[in-house]
Amino acid sequence: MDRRPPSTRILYLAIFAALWMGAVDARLSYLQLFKYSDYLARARRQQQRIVEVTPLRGNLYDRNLREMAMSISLDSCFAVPAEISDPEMVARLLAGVLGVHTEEIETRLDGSRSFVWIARKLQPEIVERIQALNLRGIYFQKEHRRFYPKGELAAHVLGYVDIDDRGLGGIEYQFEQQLRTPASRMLVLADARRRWYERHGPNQARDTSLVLTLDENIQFIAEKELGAAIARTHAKAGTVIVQDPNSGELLAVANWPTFDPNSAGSSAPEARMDRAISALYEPGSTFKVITLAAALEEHLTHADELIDCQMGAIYIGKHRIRDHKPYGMLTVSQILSNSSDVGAIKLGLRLGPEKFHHYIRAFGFGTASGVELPGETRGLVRRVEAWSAISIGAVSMGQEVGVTPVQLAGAISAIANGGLLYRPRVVREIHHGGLIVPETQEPPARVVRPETAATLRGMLEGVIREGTGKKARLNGYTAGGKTGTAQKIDPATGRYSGREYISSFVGFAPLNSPVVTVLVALDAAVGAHGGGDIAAPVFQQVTQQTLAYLRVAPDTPLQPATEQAAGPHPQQFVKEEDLSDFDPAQVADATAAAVPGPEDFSSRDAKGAEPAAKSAHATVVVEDGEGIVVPQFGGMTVRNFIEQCMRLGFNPVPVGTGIAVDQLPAPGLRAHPGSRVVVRFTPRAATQTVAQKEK
Amino acid sequence: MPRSIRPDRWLFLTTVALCLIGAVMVFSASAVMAQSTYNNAYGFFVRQLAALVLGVAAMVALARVDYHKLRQPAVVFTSLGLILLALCAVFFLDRSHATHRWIRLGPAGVQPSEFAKLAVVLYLAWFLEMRRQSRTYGVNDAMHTLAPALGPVLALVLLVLLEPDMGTSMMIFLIALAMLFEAGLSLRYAAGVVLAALPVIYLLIVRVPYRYNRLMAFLHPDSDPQGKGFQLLQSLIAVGSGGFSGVGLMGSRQKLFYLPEAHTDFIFAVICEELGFLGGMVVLALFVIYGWRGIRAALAAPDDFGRLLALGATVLVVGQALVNLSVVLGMMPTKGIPLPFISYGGSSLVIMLIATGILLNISQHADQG
Repeated sequence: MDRRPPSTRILYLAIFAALWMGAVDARLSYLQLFKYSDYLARARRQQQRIVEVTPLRGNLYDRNLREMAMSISLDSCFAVPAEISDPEMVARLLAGVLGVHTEEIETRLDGSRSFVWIARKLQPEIVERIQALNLRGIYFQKEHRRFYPKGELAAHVLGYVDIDDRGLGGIEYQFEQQLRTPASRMLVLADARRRWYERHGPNQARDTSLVLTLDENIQFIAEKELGAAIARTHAKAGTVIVQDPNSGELLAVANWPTFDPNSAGSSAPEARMDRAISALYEPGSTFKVITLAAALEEHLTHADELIDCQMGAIYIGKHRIRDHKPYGMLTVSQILSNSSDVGAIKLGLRLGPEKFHHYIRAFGFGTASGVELPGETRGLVRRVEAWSAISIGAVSMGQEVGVTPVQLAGAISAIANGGLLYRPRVVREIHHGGLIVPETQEPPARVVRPETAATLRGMLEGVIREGTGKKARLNGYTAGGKTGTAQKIDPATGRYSGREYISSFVGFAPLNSPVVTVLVALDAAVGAHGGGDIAAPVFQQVTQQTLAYLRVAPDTPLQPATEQAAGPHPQQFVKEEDLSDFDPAQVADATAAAVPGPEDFSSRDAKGAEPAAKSAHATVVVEDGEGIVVPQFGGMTVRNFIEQCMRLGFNPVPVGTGIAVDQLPAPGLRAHPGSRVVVRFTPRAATQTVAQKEK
Repeated sequence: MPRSIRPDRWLFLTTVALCLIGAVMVFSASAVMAQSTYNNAYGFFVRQLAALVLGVAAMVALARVDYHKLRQPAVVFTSLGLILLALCAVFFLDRSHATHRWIRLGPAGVQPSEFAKLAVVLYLAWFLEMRRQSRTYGVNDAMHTLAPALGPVLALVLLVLLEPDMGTSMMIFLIALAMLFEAGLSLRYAAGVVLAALPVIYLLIVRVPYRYNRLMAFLHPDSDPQGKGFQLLQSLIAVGSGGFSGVGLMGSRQKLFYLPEAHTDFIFAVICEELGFLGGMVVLALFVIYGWRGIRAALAAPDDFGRLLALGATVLVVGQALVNLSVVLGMMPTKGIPLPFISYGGSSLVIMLIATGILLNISQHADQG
């Protein structure tokens, strides 16, 4: 084999390769050593994003841990215009999905090269449709939005937030510090698919939620009855408070007018006012309870002392004060039950200004109650030195003092619980992650002796049994309470208005071991305005239903249902036969228990109930321009209720579990599709227990 | 025939080092993507390791087989025929995508185009040695040397081009050109071949939109950073942001879906980002050593077959590495060419190791002089 010397050409190839490699090396050095900072900046720009993080707010729960306010995660859509090659087309497509003008989006896309919001806090189906467009340069970011699942329920206590999730009212405002994680700008590292894989910024995992003292069921009862009363009386405003007299915890705080915190911005400012703590009014006759409590505590009188009510007129100095009715000799009890002004004034005169003033303050008037809500009014109790000659008389019958509903409810609770004044509370516990911090309850102040309170309770029972508050009488329960009808001061003249009244009733039940204190105040009712006529029935409705809901055992024999004060909602019922549909195991009990129930709606003539029930299930929708007729949901299960709402296009809001017992709006009313229908459900066991107790 | 006792240690260790860097970097570059796409972070890594085991076995085996045993028509034409058959077969077997590159064998897949490179090296080494020794036909005999030499090569190039895989077909063409050049191709012919290829290449680029876009992206990377220029730009950002010492192993951010093909063709960008200039230089140095040892083996080869074979194998590895590095660094338009030993891809890895095995064997036959 003839071997030739190795070709030199291979060396040319080697040199060529070496030169090439040298070029690669130079290029590598150039990129990594000389252009390092440029490329690092470019890398940072695309990999890191400063993201404004909407802080996550803690949830609000009612006392049974049902969500009253929660933060839901929604996607917000943003664009990186630099990545969009055809902004006009992108704008047109997005505008189609979002239902806005193409130009509007185009303008936004022109606004920045790197980041513009397209639309914030979008509904999931919109997000899906945008994602389906598969547009380059369009991205989503999770943001939180406050959501109040129960709509208007307890709106004033819960409060509301602004677009940036800052609390502006109620608990949301008062507990802003605890509920809100401080706003933060967060540096995140994002991959090319815009998922964050690393972030630098404050830890977002803070989880603080508040458990309120409210009970959504009782709140519902209060709001529903208040709403019905407003509709009946055409009052301008109103308040219902349900308080646990043994702890000061507020179980329900209902105000009218009200608002939906989900869209607080579109409500009137006066609708957002929490009248329960900020509406100052002259209590009128309800304040006589305080006058009597002070007189009794000071041993200046006793329940059976006869007092001459001077046939309805008394002179204080030169001023003649006329009673609403001329009374002769009345016992102290009768003074209260008949609400004699002259009698109350006489007792006030016995006390004298100093002592009286002392008791007024001791009962919590003229001082902020300390409830954990913003905007509370202190009330108006003038210093003794500022009292005029007739002040003692005026104050004795509830004039010349300004109180808030929550103050008066607290004072009556003190009578109910044996003389202890608790700070009214709306917050029960604060949950920090897994840690539960109960709100501290400072020891209550003793205002009057237990004997004084007991005497007063007996007298207050008389008001309901035989006095001005007959319409407050409960079925199956004893109760005590006091009516009040106060003339409003006309702000224009500073004098008492002859036409506008605050009609109120405040009381508690059951009499000897009160479970609830209920205050009802209606502002400027049209027509009948006597507290005993229009506020007492509301007390009766709210208290009756609340006690049944709380499964409080009746302490007096039940009256036949027909003898009750006519309930404002004759449509409401649970037909006992309906129960058997839901739980076959209870058929026997249910049929056996076809006895009048304590709740006015729990039992009716079966014949009368039948057609209504049929129509409820048959989904008869009558449409005539103004919305859809809301059907009767009574007796349905939560599921049936939701299904039927879906069919009709309503937004179902179930409250509680079990069988539907109450609803808002009432059956037969018209509502627009998409509007909220709140229905309260009670466990069927409760109905059973009560029904059996009746036998 | 004089033989050294031991194969080239430098070459062997360089190859092992490149393979290990490759395995680690494939894992680093693919883990997140594999986790998100296949829900298995180790998917690519495990496959690469399997190919590595297979390839190292083939390399060790071939290093022990006297390369002269390859100098038989039976070996040369069998391999050439099988590759041609396989390249035709992909058109019928791989209809799943728009491309026809793969033959699926159970869980693994084979890319015949990778093996075509080796077949070309073998065929040309055999044929050109024959012509160099022939007294009848010179190397520059167009009819009897160039036509039969380029015929099968162009057939392979055409088939690979139709897959379509322009990168690999150009690579095959370059290897053939280098070997012809070494065999003594007259510069007139060499220029002619290149000139003849230019209009073809031009048409292939201008007429095929994605190739045209790649060219445009190469020329103007910033004109459309989110579109055509995206890949190159992301590659440059990865390399540039690595700096001198890199962001640390596994620390690449560009691999998180910014840089397409991070674990295959653009793995060098991830190396540069994670290991910095130092890491990049190590890889370059290893290829330099490989080239040096390859040329050395070629020069020391006792015969033309050995020299041409060694040169072909060296060009196969180092030439491809240079093209890949140039693409990643933005010095050449984007092509689908993996970085030898390092990029993910079983066929490529096995072929490179086989070529290295042959080279190792040739190095044992070095002239003592």
